[in-house]
Amino acid sequence: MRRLGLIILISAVLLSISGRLWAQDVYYVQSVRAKIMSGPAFKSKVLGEASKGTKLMSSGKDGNWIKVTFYSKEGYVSAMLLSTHPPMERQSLIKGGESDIKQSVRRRASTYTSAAAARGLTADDRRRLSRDEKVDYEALEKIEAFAVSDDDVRLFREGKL
Amino acid sequence: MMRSTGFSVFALLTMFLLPLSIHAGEGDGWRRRVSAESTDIAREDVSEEIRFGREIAARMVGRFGLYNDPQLMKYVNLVGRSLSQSTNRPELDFHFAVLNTSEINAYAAPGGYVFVTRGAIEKMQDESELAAVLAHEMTHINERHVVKELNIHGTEGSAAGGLARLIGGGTEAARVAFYQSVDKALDMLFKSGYGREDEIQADRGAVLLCALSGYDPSGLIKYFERIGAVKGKTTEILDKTHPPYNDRIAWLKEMIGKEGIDPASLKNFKERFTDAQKSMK
Repeated sequence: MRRLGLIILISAVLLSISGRLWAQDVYYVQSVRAKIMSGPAFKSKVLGEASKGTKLMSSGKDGNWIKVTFYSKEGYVSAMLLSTHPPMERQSLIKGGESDIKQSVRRRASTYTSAAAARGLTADDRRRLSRDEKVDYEALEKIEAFAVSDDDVRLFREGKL
Repeated sequence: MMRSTGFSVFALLTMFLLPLSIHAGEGDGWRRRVSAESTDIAREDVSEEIRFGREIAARMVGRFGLYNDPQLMKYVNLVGRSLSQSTNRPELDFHFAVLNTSEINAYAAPGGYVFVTRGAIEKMQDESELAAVLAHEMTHINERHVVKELNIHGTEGSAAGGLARLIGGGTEAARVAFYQSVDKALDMLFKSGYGREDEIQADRGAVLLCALSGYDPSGLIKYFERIGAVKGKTTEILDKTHPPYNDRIAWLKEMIGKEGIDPASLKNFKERFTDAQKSMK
């Protein structure tokens, strides 16, 4: 029994060491695209490009660059573009479905009312407070509603707009 | 028999714990991305971050007013959206707007709200300068600096979780605490400023974000050199809330060199910027 324990212990140590040697971390591209560079610097050669959500295996880090394997080649990606979790869907309070919008509007109204209520204010007081504190939800909603298309962004990036 | 069983248990425990200890020892350093907080953020936490930022943003717009120039608004959004394609926060919908004030500054509210003032745009000379200023503010957002500075921590230790607790608490006390946090955030943005480390991170993040988006990051250096010479009321808040320009220029130059960035190979779109600037009354 004692011998068995010893064998298990030795195996554990060997497994740990080998696990450490072969340890790889998983990263996911968060940006729309991520350039894979030949070295950890912007002036390095571009080996390829990975799109959002691409899973990359990493074996190390060099400054702000993550060393990855891409189509069997070793390269580097800016750590700014990666995360250890898959990219999350876009979250928005105004661009969801109709129910989201209604819920959002209700919530906006209720949070404002609650804050004012917490200060013991009447409806008139709340209107005055809104004016005095200069809280401009109307202008903010205009900003939130302002949209530029993905096509326009692409053309703009290419210097064609 | 007891000794043998004990030894086997010890061996089994070692088998499970040893790999974990080795993993933890080496992991924290390089496993972390350049961002300060890499923990998985729940969808709800992001929604609360946006709601918190909305309240701050509504007060910023209320304080200065929105500069109503659709052409300039579109241009600033195109520059901002170009940058947002290279961020590590795809879950955020970034919104960009110009504040109607001669004050030279830019602001960020959590959740994706980025503002640049009319006064700042008037002082800029090309698109790389605008991009760099927006990228600096976007880094404050990406790194959740406001929430961290206010020290809003959830039970699990994450800043975003703390916001969810504040907003989702449902009690009057939680609501009051939430609005107190909004007031504190505004006080920080207009009076005390972010911490020095946050500003260094935002400047460095701006360099990376610009270079990744094809913009010359040295635009930020040129902009700082220009506005550093401006004295008076228009730079009062900016000077009070940020580190000295000489320090900022020094770490920007260091970052550009360290990252192997060749500014000459990147764009500044001067002509396009000048056209957009002309639309300002």
